[in-house]
Formats: sequence, C-alpha cells, structure tokens
Amino acid sequence: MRYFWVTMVCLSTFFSFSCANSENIQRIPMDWRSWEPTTELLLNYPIPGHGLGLRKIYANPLAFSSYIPSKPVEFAEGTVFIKDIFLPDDPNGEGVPGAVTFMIKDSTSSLAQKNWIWGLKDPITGVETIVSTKFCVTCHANANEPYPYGGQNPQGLFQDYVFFLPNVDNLPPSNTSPQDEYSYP
Amino acid sequence: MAQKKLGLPITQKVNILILAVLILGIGAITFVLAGSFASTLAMTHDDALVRESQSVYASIETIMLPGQASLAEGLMERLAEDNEIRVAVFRADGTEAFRDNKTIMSVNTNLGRPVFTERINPSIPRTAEEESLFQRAALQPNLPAPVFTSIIEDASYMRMFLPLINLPKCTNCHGSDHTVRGIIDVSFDITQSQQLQQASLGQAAILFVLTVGLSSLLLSWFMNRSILHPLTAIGAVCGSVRRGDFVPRVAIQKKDEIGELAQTVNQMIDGLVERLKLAKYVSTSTIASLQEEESSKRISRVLFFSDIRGFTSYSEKNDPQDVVHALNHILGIQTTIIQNHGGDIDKYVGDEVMALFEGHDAHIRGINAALAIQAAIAHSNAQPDQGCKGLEIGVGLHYGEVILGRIGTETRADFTVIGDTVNLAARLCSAAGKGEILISKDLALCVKQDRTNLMACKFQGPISMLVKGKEQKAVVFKVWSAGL
Repeated sequence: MRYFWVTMVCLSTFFSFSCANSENIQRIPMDWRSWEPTTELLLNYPIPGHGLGLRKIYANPLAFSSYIPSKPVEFAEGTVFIKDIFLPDDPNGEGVPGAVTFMIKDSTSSLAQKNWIWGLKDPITGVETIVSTKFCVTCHANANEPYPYGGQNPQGLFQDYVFFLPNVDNLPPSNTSPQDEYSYP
Repeated sequence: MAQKKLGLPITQKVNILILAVLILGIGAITFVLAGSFASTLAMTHDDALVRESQSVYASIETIMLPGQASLAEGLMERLAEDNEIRVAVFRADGTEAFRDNKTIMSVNTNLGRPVFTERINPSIPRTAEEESLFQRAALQPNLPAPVFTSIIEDASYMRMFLPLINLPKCTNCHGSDHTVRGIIDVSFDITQSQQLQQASLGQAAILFVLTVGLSSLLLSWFMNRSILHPLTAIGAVCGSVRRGDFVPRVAIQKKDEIGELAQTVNQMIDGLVERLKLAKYVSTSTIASLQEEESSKRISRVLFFSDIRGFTSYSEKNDPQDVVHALNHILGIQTTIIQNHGGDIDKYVGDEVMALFEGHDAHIRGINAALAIQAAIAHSNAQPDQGCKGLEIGVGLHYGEVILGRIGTETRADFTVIGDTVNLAARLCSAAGKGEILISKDLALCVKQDRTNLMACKFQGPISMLVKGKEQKAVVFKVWSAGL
C-alpha cells in the first residue's frame, strides 16, 4: 500500500511543483491515442517511477517511419513517445489515466535532456508540463544498457533512451510477471 | 545690539557630514562586500555539496551494481574517514543502510566469521524539519533536493538528502516495486569555513571602524586646518572691522582659494582705511549724498564762512613754511571747534572755511562755534608762541534755503551747496572785521525764537550795510562774547 501512495504522490507532484515548467504550448495533440502503440506487450507489471498500474505507450508516425533497426538507434527530430499511466484500480485502462508522460526528440531545445524533452500532459486539460529535473532521463538512460523491461537490450546498444522501440517484438521483463500473477510485497 | 544666536557651528556640521559620508560610503561598500562574500561562500558550499553528492551518488550507484554489499560497505567506510564529508545511506523507510548492526550481525553469523564490522559512528540525527525533508526525498524523488544547514554538536553542516532512485539496472536485485531505494545523506562540514567567515567579518568590522575613525579625524583635521580655521580668522578680522578696528589683518599666506579670499579681505580693509582717510577731506554731506545716491535737493542750512584778515599781506611777508603752518594752525582750530559743534566742513578755499550746520538747533551751534573760534584764536594770539601769529578772522553766518547737489562733471565733482543764502553768508564774512562775527537778520530771528544753549554773548544791531553783489542793504547783527 505504501508503494501506491508513493506513486500517487510522485505523479501528483509532477504537476504542482516548480521543478517543472508549465507552458501553454501544445506540443502534442489531444488525439495521441489514435497513434500506434509501440508494443503489444501488456505493460501491467510494476516499474519504478510509473507505479503499479497499467501503461499504454504510443508513438507518433514519425517514430515508426524514422526508426530503422540499425546500430545505433537514433530517432528523427520530432519523434514523440507518450505513455498513459493508469492507476492500479483501473487494470484495463478504461478510465482517465492517473498521469500521462511524454518524450519529444528535440536536440536543439534548451529544455531537452539527452536530446529529448521530458514532460507530462494533463489527460483532461491537455496542459503540458516540462520536467526540468533529471528524474525521467536518469532512468531512461538505462534503456541504453541491459535492462529488465521489454526487449531488455541485452547487448547494451544505444537505443536513444527508449525502452520499447516501435515495431519490435518486446519481451516481458525477466524478473516480473503479468499483474494477475504478480504478488505485492 | 543683541547678539544673534548662532546655530550649530559649521565645524561640527562639516565633521558630522564627513562622518556620515564615511559611514554611509564605506559602510555600504563593506556591507555589500561582506554580503557578497557570504553569498559567494554559501553558493560555493552549495555547489561543492551538490558536486560531492553527485559523485557520492554515482559511486554508490555504481558500486552496488556488482551485487557485493561488502564493496558498498567498504566505500562507506572510506567515506566515513573523511572528517569534512559525512555520508550515510538510508533505506526508504528511514533505517540506515550498511550500518544496521542487526543485519550485519546476521550476515556475519551466516558467514560464520566477522566479515562486516559493526556500526562505528551513529548517523547524524535529524530534526523534525530535517525529517520532513528526508521524507520528501523518499516520497517525491522527482523534486530537486534542497541544500540546507544543519547544526550538529556545535558543528555546522551543509546537508542534502538525495533519493537513491531504483533504476532499471538496479531492479534485478532490488525489485521493481518501488521507485526510491534509499536516501543518501550527504553533509559537508562548514564549521571552520563559517568561523573563518565570522573572523573575516569581525576583522572587516574593526577595519571599518578604524578606517572611518581615522579618515574622519584626518578629514576633519584637514577641513579645520584648510578651511574652517582660515574662515574663522577671516570672520574675526571682519568682526574687528565692523567694530571700527581697522588694524587687524588676516594672516593667511595660502596660495589657494582661501588664501585669495584672505588677501581680498585684507585689500578690502586697506581700501576702507583709505576711504576713511579720504573722508577727512570730504564733507559729511558729500558722503551722505554718496551713500544716498542723491542728485540734488533744496534744504535749509546755517551757512558758516570765515576768512583770515590780512592773510594775503602776511603770506607775502613770511616764509611759505611759516605761512602754511599758521594757516593750518588757524584752520585746525576752526575745524575742531566746528566739528565739536556738529558742523560739517564743506570746503577750504585758501584761508577761507565754509561749513554747514543742520538741525533744529543749527543756529545756536553755528553761533556758538563762531564765538568759540574767535575766543580760541584770541587765546592763541595771547600765548607766547603766538600759534596764530597774530592773525585774526572774520566770520559771517546766515540761515536760509540752499540747493545741495553734485556740482561738477562726471570725472570731478563736489557735493556742495549753492544759492543766494551761500552768497550772502560769504558776503557777511567779507564784511566782518578782525575778530568780528556778523549774522544775518534771518539767523537773528532764529535766535530770537530760541536761545536755548546759546553761549553768553551780546548782539548789536540791526545794522544796515551794503554788501558786495547786493543792490539792497542787508540787515545784519554783530555778535561777540559776553566776556569781552
């Protein structure tokens, strides 16, 4: 239960503290759910930073068109990944997400960290908040190393900070199981 | 004249001004510098702590990857040896990691040998406020970790709580059901730095006081010596002049503005002295007219004319030196007496004296002056040295209206009186014999109306006589002292 509240506090404080920049700029259209999901994998296992609930990850068409399974992976400028994060009491992701996070490839932006703009989008109002702390990028840097999620990047290749590459048959995490089989500590 | 009450002396005003300027000026600079120094030092501490924390964070994060707790334990031991940096790692629930004696004992028991030493130093305690920051780091790891000051056992620490994020690469060992693995408590001992800062501020304060004090004294001394004392001296000399003492001079030989002022004041006094001396040769009415800047006016005056009888013959028979001496002696007697009686010498014309008397008793003072002059000359002639050399004078007096004005040109003029009254008085003088005093009928009428303070004298008349320049005879009276 403690982890639930930690997750809730983390998500809520994303929107309310000055460590992030709230702007009226709409970088991502409200119809992002019409984009293609990056993986067919049911992302309902807990991962640090995104809680225990279900997650759905979408990417804009540019992500699919620019991604070429090459080494190293490098997405085109303007690539967008966006993730609906549902609360644990919405295991099927049918309601309004508790939080929506996104990453936009924009190497020239002063807001970018590791060439990406990291932020959150209010799922109802659409207000976007840019995260200026290293909280997001620190974890996502691990996508370039062997990691336990999705494809796991066993060779530690450069994946441009993206865990779930589009059009890649991702594998479930090695040390976790789907939520219906997952037991809380 | 009542002494005007003076305000605060300019010396004190200048000293106060200097002191205020020094305090405000140097104080502001010192304040800004001290503030900047303290701010820079604090920023330096903050930056150092953040960098140190990032290094510690990276070290701990990296050293934990092999999954060998002993490596992390060793790192913590090494960090504990640093007296200035104190690092402690806590679990998210607040218990200190690597220092948990129970766990260590358990591990050692399991290993069958004392691999890990027990807890050496207690972790730095946390106040309630610090505990809230600790909890914030644990619950809100996405927020920036604030740097704060912590006082522990009389020592000051810059301190921050860094959340140890459960990175994906860490989840293999630590599981993925939590975001924060623990809290890294990094403290940087700034006690010595603060003491140095306080000492520096103390030294700066002492230096400030000394600088302000010495500068104030020096500037005050300089101002007093260069400006205020010379001004006081100039003021004293001006005061003497105002009281009529023209002897003092400003004894300042500076070659600056003050010196120039002193020389100007001295020159001004010299000019005043010259004018005072010149005033002896100018009638009082002339001076008054100059002061009033009058051009001309019609006034009533008693006209006094005297002339030495037989002087032309005397001057032809005697040495010029004796002539001048005798003339000056007689003129001196007359001048003194006329002035003593409030008369104004208008001019000397050779051996002739022309004087004016004004005021309500001018007729009395004029006649008294004439009587006194005749008596003085007679007395002088009776003396063995015969200062007047036996010479005698005739006096004519008349009262009437005259025109007072500047007579002459722009380059040379006299302020004098003109008119028929003047002519008649001069003619009466000419008509008067040796030792005689002739007064006009108009003047006699004045005496008839008011004899107050008139010396004892006798009048003879009226006498009708023809005077030069007049077609009709003038009515005159002879006057002489009652004692004769």
